Amino acid sequence: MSTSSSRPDPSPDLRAFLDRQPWYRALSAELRSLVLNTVCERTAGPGDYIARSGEPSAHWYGLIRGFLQMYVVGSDGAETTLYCMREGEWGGDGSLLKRELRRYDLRSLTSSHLCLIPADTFETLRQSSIAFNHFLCEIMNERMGVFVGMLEASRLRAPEMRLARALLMLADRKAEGSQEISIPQHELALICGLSRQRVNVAISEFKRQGLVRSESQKSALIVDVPGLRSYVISED
Amino acid sequence: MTVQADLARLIGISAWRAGLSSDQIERVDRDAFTRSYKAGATVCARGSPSLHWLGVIDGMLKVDTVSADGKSTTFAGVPAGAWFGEGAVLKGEARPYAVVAIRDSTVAFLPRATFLWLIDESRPFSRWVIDQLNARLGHYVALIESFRFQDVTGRVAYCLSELFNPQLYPGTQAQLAFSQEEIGRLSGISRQNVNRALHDLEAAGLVRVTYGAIEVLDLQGLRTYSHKASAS
Repeated sequence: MSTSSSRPDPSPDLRAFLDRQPWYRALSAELRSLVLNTVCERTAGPGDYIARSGEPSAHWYGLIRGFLQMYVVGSDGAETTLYCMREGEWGGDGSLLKRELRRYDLRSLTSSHLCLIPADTFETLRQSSIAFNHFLCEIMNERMGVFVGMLEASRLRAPEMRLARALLMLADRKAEGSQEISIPQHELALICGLSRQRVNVAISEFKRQGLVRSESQKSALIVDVPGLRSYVISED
Repeated sequence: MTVQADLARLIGISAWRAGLSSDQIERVDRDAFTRSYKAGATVCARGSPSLHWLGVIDGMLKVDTVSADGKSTTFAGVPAGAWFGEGAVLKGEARPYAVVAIRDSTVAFLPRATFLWLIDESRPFSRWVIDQLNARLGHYVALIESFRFQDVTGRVAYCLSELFNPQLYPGTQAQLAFSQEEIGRLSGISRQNVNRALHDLEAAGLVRVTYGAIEVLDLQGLRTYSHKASAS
């Protein structure tokens, strides 16, 4: 939270990341320098905590690289992943806006590089920039679609639909072709809320349909993103 | 005339109205209109353009989806006093769900152009919409959590208590005109299981089940019950 004078200047990666953000480009010069003067960055390894449930929200998180998972542990110790943030996404706005303690843990799923906007800066942007508020509406709305899709799949559809939704959550929303998604299969199972065995069956089915393939040596899945989008629509 | 009065009453008690200027209130009053529906009638078909933001003046609506094989599930029950549909209106997309009256209902319609104008013109309104989206997001995340972790009784307790979410549904009455079948669709479980779950909640003194309705006796108790079932 503190912004000591020894705070290092934003790295070139961080600057380039901010420059790609439509809300950032829409800010006045003054607000842009507020962001540059208060932004922090950090890297994290697989399994590192980014924020813990029950703690105050200190930052708004932009993901420069990697995957973060929002997860929760049930009374029997079982864990489930409720959401995965992918490269280019922003998160943590929910608790900041509600001014409440975080409800869920946030953990790095892969090695990751994060941009951290302090709570005070977030609040200033929210109060001063219409474009920033539009951006918040947009990302919340998009996430809502993801949650409703997963809920519907869980209640009504075969497990394949949950896998399709999970893969689309991990893939670039704007992807026009195939994409390599490299996360461990048991993590994929936690996102689907399914057993690892059942996820395997669903992956085989998608391979048979040509929606997913893998290169034998690697654990990564190569996903036909437009194909999966059509799958989700056609099964509807 | 009475319908106009009902519309004015709903707008008058809506939290988002408080931050508007008199010009803005005037335009809302001018542009909004109402329609009445019989129980079972479709208010908005799935796939229809999202031309309006909706408010419930009287009655009860549900937001649901039906799959190709005829199975249906309810994402939300919308009691009187609530406004909803801001997501689809903001995106300007076809409604990804259907809106159906569960019982005889009167619905307020605010045109999309007016809604978007308010967001651009009024900072308090825009803030309210963001809070609304945020509350809905929190609700859906918790629904998925509840689906994965809770037994059927916990899931029913959560869904009933969420009908009283202060941001989303500020005007809900303790007497809920929901059939057990509707509760089943709302919480995503079979009717037999709903019956058992309601029996458990009744035995715990949290609700009273009457024909075609559920009365919530202890809302805080219901909330505690639904959290206790999943908290680590």
